[in-house]
This record gives sequence, C-alpha cells and structure tokens, in this order.
Amino acid sequence: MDKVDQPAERRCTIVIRGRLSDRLGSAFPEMALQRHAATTMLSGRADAAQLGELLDRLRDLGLEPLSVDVDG
Amino acid sequence: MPRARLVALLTGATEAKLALVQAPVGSGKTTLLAEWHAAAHATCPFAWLSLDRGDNDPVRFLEGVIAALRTVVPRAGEQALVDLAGPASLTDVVLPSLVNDLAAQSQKLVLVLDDYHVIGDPRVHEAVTFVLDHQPATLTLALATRAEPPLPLGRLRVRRELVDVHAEQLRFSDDEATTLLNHTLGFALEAGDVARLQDRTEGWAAGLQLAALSLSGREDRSGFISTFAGDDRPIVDYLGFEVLDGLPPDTREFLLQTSILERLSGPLCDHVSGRDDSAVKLDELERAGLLLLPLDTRREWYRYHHLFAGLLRHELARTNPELVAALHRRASAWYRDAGSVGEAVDHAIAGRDVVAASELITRHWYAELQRGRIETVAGWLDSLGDELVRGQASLCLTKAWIAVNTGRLDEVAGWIRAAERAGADEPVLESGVASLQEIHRYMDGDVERAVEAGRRSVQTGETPWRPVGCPVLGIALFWSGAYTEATAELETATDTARAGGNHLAVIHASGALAAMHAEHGDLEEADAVAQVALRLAHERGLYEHWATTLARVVHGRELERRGLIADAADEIDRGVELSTRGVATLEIAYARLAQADARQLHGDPGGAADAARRARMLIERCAAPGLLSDMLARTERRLHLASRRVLVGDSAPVADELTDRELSVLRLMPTELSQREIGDALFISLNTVKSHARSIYRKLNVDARDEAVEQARAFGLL
Repeated sequence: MDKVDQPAERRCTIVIRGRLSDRLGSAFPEMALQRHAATTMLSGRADAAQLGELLDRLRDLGLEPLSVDVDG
Repeated sequence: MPRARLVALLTGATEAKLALVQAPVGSGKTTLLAEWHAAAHATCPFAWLSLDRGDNDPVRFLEGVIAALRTVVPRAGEQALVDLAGPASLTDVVLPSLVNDLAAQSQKLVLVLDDYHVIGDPRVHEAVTFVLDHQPATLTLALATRAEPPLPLGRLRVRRELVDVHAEQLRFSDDEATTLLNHTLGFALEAGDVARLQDRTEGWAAGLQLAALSLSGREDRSGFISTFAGDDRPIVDYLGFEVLDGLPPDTREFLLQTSILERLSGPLCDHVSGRDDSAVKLDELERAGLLLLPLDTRREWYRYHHLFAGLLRHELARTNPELVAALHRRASAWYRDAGSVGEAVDHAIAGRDVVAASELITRHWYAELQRGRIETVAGWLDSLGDELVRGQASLCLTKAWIAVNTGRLDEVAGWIRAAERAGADEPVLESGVASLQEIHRYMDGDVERAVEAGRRSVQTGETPWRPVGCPVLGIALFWSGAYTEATAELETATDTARAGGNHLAVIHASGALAAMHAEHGDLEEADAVAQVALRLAHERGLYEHWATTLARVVHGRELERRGLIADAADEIDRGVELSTRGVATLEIAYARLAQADARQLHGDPGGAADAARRARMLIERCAAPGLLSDMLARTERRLHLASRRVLVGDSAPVADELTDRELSVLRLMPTELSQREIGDALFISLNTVKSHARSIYRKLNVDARDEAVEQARAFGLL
C-alpha cells in the first residue's frame, strides 16, 4: 500500500451493465464510452479523488459498476 | 404491504443493538425503514435523522441526533448539548451523558440514521461506535447505507446483536412484485408480463417503481413491457427518461427546477421556481405515490428519491446548464431569509456566488464557532477554495482565527497578510486585522506587540471583530505589568463579553483578573473571582477549555495557602494539562511555574525542577514574556535551581519505551504534515494520532511537537 496518497492521475476503466445512451452518458464527459454487447466501458484518466467522485456519480444514477480497474 | 417478510425481520430486531440496511441507491432502504416504523410505532417510537455531508462535523451530527431523539424523549441530551458547544471530549463527556439520558427511559426506541454512507469523518464513526459499545437496552440503532460503515460489525454479528438486510433481500420476489403491481397499484398485469418485468429489473425496487410510473396511463402495457424487456440500455437510462419524457411539461419543469434542492418545502420551491403553487404540486407528486418521500409527519418537508434526484439534476445540467447556478442562488437567498445559515452557504457555494457566500460566512462564522462548529466553518472555507478566500479580506481573517484556535500558529501571519493584500482598509477590516494580530502575538508570547495591536483594534471602535479580540488586550496588559490599565480593560471586556453572551471571553478575562489579584498578594479575593469563572465554565460546558487555566491555577494556589496540598496539586496539574490544549504560551508557562511550586511543597524536588525547566523552555521562546521572566526567576530562586539548571535539563530520562506505533507517528513529526495528514499517511484516525502524540509528549517530558522533535533527536530516536 502507498504510504501517502499522491494526486497522480491513473488510467481508470469502469464497466457497467447495459449499453449506455448518449443522453445519460453525457453525465460523464471526462470519460470515453465504448459500448459492447451487454455492457458499456468507461475509460479515462483520474486521480483517486476524481475516481471516487465519478463512482459516486455513477451510483447516484443507479449504475452500479460491474468492475473498476486502475492501472499504475 | 409488499415487504411484509422484511418488516417482520426488522420488528424482531428491536431486541438487537443494530439493524443495518445496506444496499445500492434505489433499493428501497428508506421505504423499508418507513414501513417498519409504520408497523412498530405503536409499541416503539422512532427518532429519525436523514444525514447529509454537513454531518461530517461531529458537533453538527450530534446536534442532529439529539434533535431527532427529542421528538421522542423531550429532554434528552440537555447537558450533552451544552457540553457540545465547548471543547469537552465526545467520548469522555458528551456521549456518556447522552447515553445515560437514554438509559433512564423505560420505553424502547429506535434511532434511524438514514444515508449513513455520506459520513466519512472518523470522529462520527467513533461516536456511533461508542453508542454501540455502551448501548442501553432501551435503544436500537437502525442504519441505512450504500456502503459498509467502519463500525465494529464483526463483533456485533458474533454476538447476534446485529440484524442485516442487504441488497439481495431487498429485491422484490415474484410474489411481492405481483402484490405491488397488481394489488397496490392495480395494474392487473398478466403473470407473464410480471415475470418479464421481474426478469429485466431483477426485483430492483427503483426499476419496478419507474416501470410502474411508465405503465400508468398507458393502453398497451404488455407491449411496453416487451419493448423494455428487449432493450439493452441500463434500467434507469431507459425507464428514467421514459418517465421524464412522459410527464406533463409543467410538472417536468417543476421537477427540474427543484432538483437542486436536498430537501423540498412549498415556500422554498415557490422561491426557487418562481411559482406560487408548489405546495399543491408537492402534494400531487406525493399522491402519485412515487418519486417523493415525506421527511416529516406534517407533510411540510420532502425529498426526492435519491436516484430520481440524480437523474433530474443530470437532465437539468444537460438541457439548461446556465440555470443551475441561478437556482442555487435563489435557494441560498431563501435559506438566508429563513435563518438557515448552513444551507444558505452551501447553496451560495454551489451557485459560485462568492459575494453572497462570503457575506454569509462573515456575518455568521463567530456564532457558529461559539456553538462548537469549527469544522463546519472550516469546511465552508475549504469548499470555496484558498484562491477565492484570498480575494476576501474578511474570509482571510476567519481563516486566521481558525488557525489560531486549532493550534496552527504558523499559518496565522500568512492569512493576516492575505487579508491586508485583499484590501483591508475599511475600519471594520482594520479592526479585524488588528484583533487577529493581537491574538496571534499574545499566543506567541509577545505581550508588547499584542498590546500594541490590541490598542489599534480598540481605536477602530465597535466592530464585529472587536469582541473576538476582546479579553486579550486586558490579559496582555496584565502580563506586561500595566495593572491599572489592565484592570480597567479587563473589567470592560468582562462586561462586554457578558452582555454578548461570550462566556469563553468572560472566563478568560476573569482568570486574568484573578491572577492579577494573586500577584498583589490578595489570594482570597483572587480565589473568589476564579471560582465565579469556574462555575460559569461548568454551567456552559466549558470546564475542559484551556481558557480556564488561569482560574484553575489561582484556585489551586488558594488551596495551597489553606494547606490542602494534595487538592491544590490536582487542580494545578489539571490547569497544566488544559493549558497545553491551547496555544497561549504564557499561560502554559504560568501553570508550569505553579506546578513547580506545588511539587516542591509536596516534597517532590525532582518533579518541581522538571516543571520549572519546562517553564523556562517556554519562556525563553517568547519574544516579550513580560512578568513571566520575573515569575520564573522567583520560582527558580525558591527552588534553588538557577545554578543547577543545565544539569537538570540533561538528566531527563525517557520514562517509558515508545511503542512501534508511537515511533511511526514520531518519525512524521519533523515534517510539515498536519496531525490529520499524519493519520492519513498511517491509515489511522485523527484521534488516534492525537492520543499517540499525547503519550509521546508524556514519555519525552515535553509539551509540544517541536519540543518532542528536539528531545527525540537528543535521545537519538530520530
């Protein structure tokens, strides 16, 4: 575990269930949307605080993530 | 009632300590708790608190808890509320008295804390943990949360004192969905259609509810369900917009405009939306049975379902982004006129209305701080951001005041300079700058410049800032030896503070008056003044405040004179301990000198020498310690210490070994990190850091962080 949180941006990939429409997808302008058969992948760069805030925004809209990946 | 099985589970929970309802947004957590309430309220009253982010200030959180409890137990927490405004420890003083009040009840009650996931502050979790650890049999806690809270859940589960309701249990079963759709809402759907809806929503409450909204008023229900079942969008993405787009334009506009509100009432919505029929509209929406939850039994305040509020806010930002700030500003104005400062500030900040936010903060920060809400005020300034704060002199001064009162003296001068740069040439702000400088210099042990700044502040006349510095000029005058002027100033300060209800200033000024009488050899009169101050401190929950130091020391010395040596030593030790919670260097040194005398009297010359040595270290750091230099010389002469000072200083041993955890905290002490940041770095709470720091100071025989670093270096620990 890191001792101190660095505000370093990392590449984040979040997968949610269903194919997100542009109308709702525009709630996440900082992320690129990629639609697959039954899921949508949101990807972009964010630091720890921004990622937390993004996940809150997803959950507020009932979009519970299936997976969250953060690259080093 | 479609959730009968869960309500039955919870009704059984009144024997448990905690009912934990944990599930994502839209799972029906609040609705379930409300149904439990409806089923159980005849035998067991409910106290209900819906939390928001502001409750991360432990003082505001506990005020909210007490207010909720009082809807059930009218006089609960009377003493706790008084103590909350002062510096009393939550777990040693405030919570025990609150828990005792509840234990004295004969009737069982349930305390609901809804939306507990908004809490991130470890001190609030510690407070809830304390209640769980000392819970009277008459109380059941119920928490609704999206994420698992950091509470001792494992222990409660092992002891079967916890009833869990999680997302899977909250999903509607086929039977429950049929009951909801066909009986409660009367759609008369065919079994196949219910099954398709169940399959698509997986029994998720919000999904079924949005589906029900889309179905009402529709002819071809079966067709709609088939289209929805075959669509591959997320549920909210499909149904949410389906509902939104199907609303009459008037209703839709009302919903969008009021979506920025955390709580809704008729008058507030009227002000924000510019309508005059909001109360009717809210009533209509509630009657439709969907989207709106009442927050009180009088149907005065409501909130939107969180999920729907999220969707509305997104739609508003998407379709009318420039309106968002304007709506927040209207909400801010309404709350300001209604006297709700916190909400007014929050909406002003959300509306990026810096002028309104700073006006509100400038007018109300001192009253908020006197209620103990230092975190709330600090939070307002943090959300504005340092850059905006630097542009407003009065906000810079508030920052400086908070820094003085949280022991961050190194930041004070910077904020005072920022205030001057921001344009502090009006008399009011000049008075503020002078008052803050006065306090800063005094805390730092420079009585000459404190007096100088204090006089400048007085010259600017009566401004809202003058009471802030009010007792300090008199106290600084006392230390500088100007007794006549000090007496006059302290008496004026006491009268002003008493008239303004500023108890802390009365206590502080009285302590200085008492110390002055003591210096003149009139210990009896001194003690009379000190005791009045201590009684006031006791009544006002300020008994644990460092501002009682002078009064305690004087009272201790009178006890000594009467031969009550042990009691005197206790009182003075307490004075020393409290003094170190503040940052008034001279008062810490004064208490240490009294401690040296008391220990000498008690037959402890080693302890006396140690106390005098610490007093000397503090006094030597002060730019202008005034009388304290003479007092130190007197004490040292009495202890025959002067010549042996160096020897004593070198012989201090490390009383106990430091623990590993203490060593890791100690290693971060030479850094610029605040105690909170040290806690973050080590993944421990602020309180844990503080308690490690206290025991480090004790073991190293020091009073402050920089001394600990110095001492640790001398011992080779760093």
